[in-house]
Amino acid sequence: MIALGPLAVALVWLVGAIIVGRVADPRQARRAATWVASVAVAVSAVAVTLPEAPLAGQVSAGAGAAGCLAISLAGLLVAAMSPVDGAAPVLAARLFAVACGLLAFRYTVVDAALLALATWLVWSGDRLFARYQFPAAALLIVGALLPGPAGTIALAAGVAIRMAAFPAHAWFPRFVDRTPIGVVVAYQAAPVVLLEPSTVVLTALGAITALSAAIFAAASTDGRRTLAYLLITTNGLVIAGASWLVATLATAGLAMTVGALAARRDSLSFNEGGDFTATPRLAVSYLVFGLSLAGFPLLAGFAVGHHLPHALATPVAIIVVVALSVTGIAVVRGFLALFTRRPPTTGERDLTPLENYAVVPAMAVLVLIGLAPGLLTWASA
Amino acid sequence: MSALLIAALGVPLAAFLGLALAMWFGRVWTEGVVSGLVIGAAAISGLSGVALAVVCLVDGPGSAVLGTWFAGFPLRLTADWLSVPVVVLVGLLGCLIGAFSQRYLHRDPGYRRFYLLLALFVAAVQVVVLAGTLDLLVVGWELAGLASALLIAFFHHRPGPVAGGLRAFITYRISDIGLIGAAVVEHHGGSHTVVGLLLVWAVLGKSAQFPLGGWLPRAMEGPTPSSAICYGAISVSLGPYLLLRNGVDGPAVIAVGVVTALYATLVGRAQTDIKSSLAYASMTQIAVVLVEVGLGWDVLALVHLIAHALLRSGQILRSPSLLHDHHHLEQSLGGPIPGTGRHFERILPARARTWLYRFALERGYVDAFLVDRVVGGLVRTVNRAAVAEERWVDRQAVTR
Repeated sequence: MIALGPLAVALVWLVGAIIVGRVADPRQARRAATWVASVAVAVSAVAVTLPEAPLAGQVSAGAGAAGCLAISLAGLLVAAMSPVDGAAPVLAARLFAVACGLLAFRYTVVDAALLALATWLVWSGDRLFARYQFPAAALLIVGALLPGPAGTIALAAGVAIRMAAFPAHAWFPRFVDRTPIGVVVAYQAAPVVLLEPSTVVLTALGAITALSAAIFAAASTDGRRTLAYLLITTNGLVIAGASWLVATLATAGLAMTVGALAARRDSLSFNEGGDFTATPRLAVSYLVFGLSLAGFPLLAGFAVGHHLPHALATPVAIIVVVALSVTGIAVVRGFLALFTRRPPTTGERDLTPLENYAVVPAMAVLVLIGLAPGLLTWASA
Repeated sequence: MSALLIAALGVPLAAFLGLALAMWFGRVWTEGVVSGLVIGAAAISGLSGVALAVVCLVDGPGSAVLGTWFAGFPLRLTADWLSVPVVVLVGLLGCLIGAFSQRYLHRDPGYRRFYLLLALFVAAVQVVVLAGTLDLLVVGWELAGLASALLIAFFHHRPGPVAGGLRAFITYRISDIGLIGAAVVEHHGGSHTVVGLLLVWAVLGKSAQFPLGGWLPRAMEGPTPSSAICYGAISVSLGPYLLLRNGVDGPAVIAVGVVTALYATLVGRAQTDIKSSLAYASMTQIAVVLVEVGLGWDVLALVHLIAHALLRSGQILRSPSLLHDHHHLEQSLGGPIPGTGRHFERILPARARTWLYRFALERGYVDAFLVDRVVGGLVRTVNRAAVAEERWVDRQAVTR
């Protein structure tokens, strides 16, 4: 099926990538990227109101628009919050175009090809990344082409490696360490889970991934490492059946908050601490985005975190409940370690107006869905 | 009745959301406005409780279904002779603490944050108290846990309060697994015994019972008023309330209560500061309440719970003036205050007394065992695995 709304959003991102690419000054490029992202958000918001039903044959107007809205809001966060040094706005915009393209063309083969394209775009020559991600892309394409159980197995393996599920997660912390944070978010924003075949094995694998990564996140002593493991946790939960819309938005918010913090500090080591009074908004966004991932009440993840254990078999449900609990510990530990204990002398800057402009809609969406979870079902129905 | 139920928990929640929005957008309301908003919200909440009591007297206890929050999550609130007294108590204490803090935290940089968290705490506890289903109770339970942890870490420039807050939050989250597990087991149609045991596990952390009570004395690092409402009165009382609400009793509850009561009374006697000894006194009394719950003496347990909450929060609020009060008492008595605990010297041999003193001083070695051995061991193993993995990854990634 081809969805016109997401196609329009993908086109906005593609055109945006060209426009941003023509701006030489990095600050101006960030402004331009924020404009492009705002337009993409507006177009997706319009697309959400369009009808889902097929217009003619295989063409629909509004299908998948809620996903595009989540992706575009993530794109807005990336555009506005990326530090000027080392930002890659053009690459991020292209990746967001690919992510929306996945929603525009709902054919498995096309989607697998688009994911391979994203992998190719992101690859910077790192050997470890290549060893994991190119086989994953190949497996996805083979899985899409092959019929029967062989295809299903290939698809499942491809999804698991692409989403850094245990035990194929080793490439991910290094990827987060060495890639601009905006590119990490953009690479994560592609809804790989749309290709996921529903098998019990994959669900159990997702739950185990979530639990083990959450424990690693809770024990880590570095902000960026914790972020990497929290992203893996979220991927695991999404594989196990959590909503990828909420996960995309919340991980983008958390990752960009950490990225913004990294641009203000030399290191994100938990031994150094920070000053809450100087950066209250930054600290609160870390907490709100993080607790959304942990399925905290009054935030968007809660309804999903509530339904997930009920829908799963008992052993998997236990693992998911424990994983969510440990995720909460990791988030609050990171919050306290990164934003407290330093005496109020450093002149660290709170969210800039531009960053605030991107954080407010994302957080508002998460809180609104948290207060009225019915909105999510309405938008993605 | 529905309107009163909504007012009891909705008004503090609205105050929290309003304050949060105003603070995010940089509106600097004066101290009077902020505290007035929260005190007013708590007062309306408590008055709704009083009105609910009247409704209960006239129409009898009842519950109201306010529709569904989302699919499979009905919003059912219950007003009966168990919840209504606690609603009034929470509203009243919220008011009192709010009024007390106006002077106590005057011109503190975190004044507004304190009231924000206080509003969240009151709203969350009212959700717990009025919840008619276990699912809805979880919502309030988790929010109350977060609010208390952030209140403990209120003075965030010092490492002590931050560590205390983190410890409390970790304990809460670990014991919350029991509560969420109970809700899931209930949905899956599991046995009542399993649900009961999981709820007892949830109570261990929230009510600081043996062996998970180590966070309670450390929680006193927070501002005095929040210690009074959270750890003297309301937060620790939620455990027995949960068991009363779900009709859980039996030998497991009694065992937890007896062990904790003995442990806490012994350890509390060796504490050298007033807040720690009050924390252990709280722990002891809650344990005794648990024994009453386990024996099925529900009315006595509720009366004991409320009386303890009122007395203890008063004591904690008064604790900064301890020396003054002590002097005053000695002057009135005309001599030193007689010591307590003489019976230990009468009934125990000297060697056992020394051993017990050391046991009490080290808080029963429970903290050391749990923190250093169990959690510390796990963290060390995990970090060693992470380092090993990192080394392996580096070897793989190196270009030959």
